[in-house]
Amino acid sequence: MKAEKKNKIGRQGKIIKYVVIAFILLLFTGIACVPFVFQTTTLWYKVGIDRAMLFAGQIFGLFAAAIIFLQLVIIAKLSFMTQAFGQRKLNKIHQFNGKFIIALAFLHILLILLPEGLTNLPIGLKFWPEMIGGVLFLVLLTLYLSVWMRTRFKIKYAVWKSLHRMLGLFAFVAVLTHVVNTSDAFDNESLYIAFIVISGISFFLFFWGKYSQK
Amino acid sequence: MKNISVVLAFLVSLFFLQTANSATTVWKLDKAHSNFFFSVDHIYSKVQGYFSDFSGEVNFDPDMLEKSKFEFNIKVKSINTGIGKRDKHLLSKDFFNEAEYPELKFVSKKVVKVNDSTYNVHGKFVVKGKEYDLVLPLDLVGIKDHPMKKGSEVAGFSGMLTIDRVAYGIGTGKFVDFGVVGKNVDIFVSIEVLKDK
Repeated sequence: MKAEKKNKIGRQGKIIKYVVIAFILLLFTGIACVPFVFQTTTLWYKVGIDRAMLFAGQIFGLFAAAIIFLQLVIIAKLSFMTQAFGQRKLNKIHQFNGKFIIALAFLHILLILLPEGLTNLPIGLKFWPEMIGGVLFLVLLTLYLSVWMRTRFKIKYAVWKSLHRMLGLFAFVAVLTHVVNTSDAFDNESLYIAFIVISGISFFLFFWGKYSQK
Repeated sequence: MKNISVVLAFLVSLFFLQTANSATTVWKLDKAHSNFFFSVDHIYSKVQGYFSDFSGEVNFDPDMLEKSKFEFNIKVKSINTGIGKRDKHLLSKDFFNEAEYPELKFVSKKVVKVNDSTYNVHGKFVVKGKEYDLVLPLDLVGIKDHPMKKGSEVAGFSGMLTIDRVAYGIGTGKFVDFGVVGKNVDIFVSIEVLKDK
């Protein structure tokens, strides 16, 4: 009877797993289409390799943003996610994503800046959304390095965890602010609402997961 | 000995007389009330902007035009069209290449009176490291005591000219070919200069 139940849960878990993976694939396919469907005015004035770099930079940036949202869901210890992937695997995915986000963010910065020159940086009050992006990158690096710092400086797990969570939530707010204020593609209401809804769902799932544990 | 003193006094007075004659009136640029505006076509509309950071020297005396001189240095980075991203694009290699050429410079060579109030200021315009001859027509709007600053005089100049930006190397012309950004740029100079009375 127990084995039967276990198998049933296993089957359910597999189905949830495939549904989650299919949803993520669908989400990322949609995200990859965003720069083509909702072209920014900056893209209008770019041709050749500059245009290709800008397209790629925008896609990498949006991927990084989506994975930041996904990180909240992965770490929320939601029962359906644990059932589908197992907590140990979710922790590993969370760690891998941390590195992946930094790589994507770095490529995003590089590919966005290269077409207009690395010396022509968006610094100053009028570039505040871009500068938030710069701060966000530093926060992401800090988040990643904090894992190493915890063992190096023997920081208590509880202290590290609350700091990591605080920086993580800051990254969430920062990426939201950066994306919707930097890219004029988000002047399109549908895209703007879709982005807010996706981020809102991830934020809700994070708190729901954390709340249901207590 | 007396004769030597007289001769020396005469030479010294000659020197001071000469110095006084050669000095034109030096005016200080009132940056808060001076502007370098521009306007360029974008498909059907016009995009306007200005440079907010510049410096300059004006030596001007309507009675001593041969000694008069205008010099302006404009920081390209201070370009402002109201949209940060557009400004950044204008600073890129597609237009000004600000990283390599951070300044625009105009130094006059001669000032020629055209009519009662208009002066043609002939000079060298340095754009992206290259010198071009340019005639900047300036209207002397007026010279009077400064209404708000006692003991000071104010003079006003304004001028308009149109330049072919592609001829000055500001862009290769690809956006002209696309029919997006015009090649003619209208420049409007409006300056106030001050001096102590």
